[in-house]
Amino acid sequence: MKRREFLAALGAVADAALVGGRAQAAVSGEKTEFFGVLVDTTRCLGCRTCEAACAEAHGLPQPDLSDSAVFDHERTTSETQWTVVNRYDTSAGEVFVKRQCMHCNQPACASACLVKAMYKTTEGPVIWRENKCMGCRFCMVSCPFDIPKFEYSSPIPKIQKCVLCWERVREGKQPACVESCPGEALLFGKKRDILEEARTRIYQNPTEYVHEIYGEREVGGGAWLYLAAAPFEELGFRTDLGDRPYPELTTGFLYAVPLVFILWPAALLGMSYATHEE
Amino acid sequence: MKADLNQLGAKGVLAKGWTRKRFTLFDVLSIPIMAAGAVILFIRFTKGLGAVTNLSQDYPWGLWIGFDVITGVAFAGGAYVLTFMVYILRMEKYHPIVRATVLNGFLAYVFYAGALLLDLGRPWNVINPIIGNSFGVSSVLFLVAWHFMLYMITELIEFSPAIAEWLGLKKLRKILASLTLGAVIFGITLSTLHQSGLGALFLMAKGKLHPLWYSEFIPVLFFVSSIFAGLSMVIFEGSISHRVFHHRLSPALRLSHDEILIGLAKGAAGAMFAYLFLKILVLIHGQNWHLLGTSMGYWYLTEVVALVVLPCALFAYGSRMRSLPVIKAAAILTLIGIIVNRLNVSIIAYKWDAPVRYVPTWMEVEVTLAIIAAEIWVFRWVVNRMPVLSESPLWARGETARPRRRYLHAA
Amino acid sequence: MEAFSYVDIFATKGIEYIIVICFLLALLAFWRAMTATAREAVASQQRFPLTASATHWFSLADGLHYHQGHAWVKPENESTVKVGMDDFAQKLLGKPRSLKLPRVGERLVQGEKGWGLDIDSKSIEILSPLSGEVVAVNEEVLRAPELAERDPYGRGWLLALRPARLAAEIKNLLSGPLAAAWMEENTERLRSYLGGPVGIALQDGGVPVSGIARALAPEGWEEIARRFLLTED
Repeated sequence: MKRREFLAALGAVADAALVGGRAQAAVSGEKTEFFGVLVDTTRCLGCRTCEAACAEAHGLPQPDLSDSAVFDHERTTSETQWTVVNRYDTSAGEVFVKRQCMHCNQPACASACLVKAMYKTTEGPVIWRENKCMGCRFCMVSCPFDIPKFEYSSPIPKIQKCVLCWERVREGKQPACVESCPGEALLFGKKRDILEEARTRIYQNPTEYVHEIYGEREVGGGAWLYLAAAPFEELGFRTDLGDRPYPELTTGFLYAVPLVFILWPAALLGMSYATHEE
Repeated sequence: MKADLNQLGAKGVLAKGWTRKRFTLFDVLSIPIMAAGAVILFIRFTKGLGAVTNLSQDYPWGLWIGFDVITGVAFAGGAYVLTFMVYILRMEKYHPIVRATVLNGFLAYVFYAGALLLDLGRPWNVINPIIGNSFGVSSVLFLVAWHFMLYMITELIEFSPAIAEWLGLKKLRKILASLTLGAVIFGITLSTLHQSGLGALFLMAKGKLHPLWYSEFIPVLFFVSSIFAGLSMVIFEGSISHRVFHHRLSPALRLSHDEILIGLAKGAAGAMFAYLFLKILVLIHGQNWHLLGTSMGYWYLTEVVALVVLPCALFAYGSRMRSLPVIKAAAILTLIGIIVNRLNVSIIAYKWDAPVRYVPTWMEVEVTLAIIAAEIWVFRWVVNRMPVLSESPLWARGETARPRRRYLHAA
Repeated sequence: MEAFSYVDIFATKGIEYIIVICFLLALLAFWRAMTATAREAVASQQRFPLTASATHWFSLADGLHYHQGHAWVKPENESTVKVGMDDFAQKLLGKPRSLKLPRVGERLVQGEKGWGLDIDSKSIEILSPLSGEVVAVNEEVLRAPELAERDPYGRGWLLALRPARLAAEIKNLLSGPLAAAWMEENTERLRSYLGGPVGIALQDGGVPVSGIARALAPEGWEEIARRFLLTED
């Protein structure tokens, strides 16, 4: 009971902060802070209600929740499904893990997109804007988690990925998956607050969790944080990505471009003058 | 008689004399290939990319990007290297082939970089990065796309005096010729950035590219390899043109052809020598030498030893011994090596451990061949009419072409 | 990256510097190997003995045939020869403003005007060493006339000719020791002009600078030149 009250309070605070925060920002011009979602896999029942809620909220085909054969192999998101729940048999028993776009703080996809179709909103979600996209699929090449999915079978293809229910979040609502979760495995709120909650849970229940929050620092961190009872390598997470945000891998090259534009013409002109005999 | 023919060339009347009545083997093969390519492209645009390609969520880029765009642009690097040698360093020895190389560079970008348009999922939005709708300036692809466009225009300017000569527009030719140096400088700058930029596209594929091919120095490696890729293509394509377009060659080109090839071979050898040491440096820096013992490691060694070390040695030997067959063999090996390297980075070493690997469909290969065939058709059309391999008309050649006066001689 | 143990991000720097040093040494060797033919060519030219004396001012190349008007002939294949001006004529005249080479297809006659040079405001004609049809003209030299002076027997070739009567006419040309003797004679004649305090060449050693004729006689140098080139009127 205590936990439920705490959660409700936190939810109310989050809602208030949402509305209050935006109003404050409008008045005082202070920076908007990101939202995030904490996924506590020790509470996930594997019911996949989140998959169904996501599909309904975005007009995607409804997944068949009765088919438990889906857990026999590891699934990824697809062009018809923005989030999937996988089952893993680990050293700590059976664990269910919900996967979707991580909504990175420094998204590789948004940095890669040459038309800003992939776009990091100020609230945090990374969205895809249909009217701008050229279908070049560079975002797919760049994403360390291989999240964006392309509709190869359509002559008017779209990129499909979780957008953290940005439209709902802007209206002060929770993402569809969070709202629908019966096991309270998903917690939505300001990133600052849910990170605090995650640390608190680890501190207060040290034997129940691996002492790490996945998504806090990987490739610069993102909106989705994960707690688990088993090591993350056993749960289908890539732990070899490093902490450096992916866009920083291209800054060396991109920062050099204006320098070349200045130095090369100057040097070439000088060389041309030097070899000019007359 | 020969002088008159050159004059005729300026007006295009020569074109009539060169209409071929018979179809060559190339025509017989290329026309059905291009026709089939058109059909496949129709299917691609009406049914989506998945209908004709083997692209997947794991492999968003395939043959059309990896080969047509990335390898094709590397091969077109001859244009910026040669214009640098002729117009900046004033190595006049190579002047006879600079026009053909610029023409090839221009057509390569139009057709192969143009192949990029065929691969776009939503090509109607290609206007977006151009019109300032929303510039994704943080994107390497933004830079590459803009450079492709600017470079095409630059190459056209560099080539335009030949068009003006063909049309007999003397004033225009003079104006265009005065733009050459600026275009050359701009072209070299652009080329440096987009040749390296094609490599920089894969900087964010860090988790997916095999460590032996991934490095923060990919842009530098791509740039340096584009130098000898371009030179090898000039040697290869020049050798073919020398035979196929024998009737159009200016005497200067005919006589100096061998010397030119030997000189280019030396340049290629030097560039490859430096590249090899860069590769060693990158290998040490990445601390990945322990991977050389794996199967991908052997493939890496094959790419570097058989297709860079060997042709480098052959170029050096061939230019030293003045042996054209050795040089041509080295050029072919180098071209294969570049194809292998570019495909490695984009398709083969990309997700090398995926359960289902990407293999292009026959349709993707077919469209690639059709694009190459179409480019050759245009190249042939231009070379047979405009002063590319043949001499410029007299009025364009400048003061030194004054006719000599005949003297009455003492007995 | 874990923050719990030391990671040396410059671990390979030392080896990289060693690789750089190896590269520089290897580059030197590579460069020498690549330019070996050029160095050999220069060395072989210098080995040709011109005079018995320790100094020689003008070079002659092996295997060429020389016309006494200071043009040379080099057979390329069965049907073509290359033609150019020898080192003596180049240094005598200096760098021309422009070269007036015949057009492809024109016919030349041995001993008659072959081509011309514009130097300052004067025009100098050079006699053709053979009769035949011009099949090519060196475009490189047209654009950069100084090339003829820098490499008169190699890249500074001027025309390619299809000779009409090669076997007969080549007997009128000098080669081998005869050419060497003739060049010595020219050198002596030129030296005699340098009796006065000219300061452009050292009497005992030192290669003359170019444009000797002009340095000798700023007015009327073309007369001196034409005397050597056998094109006096």
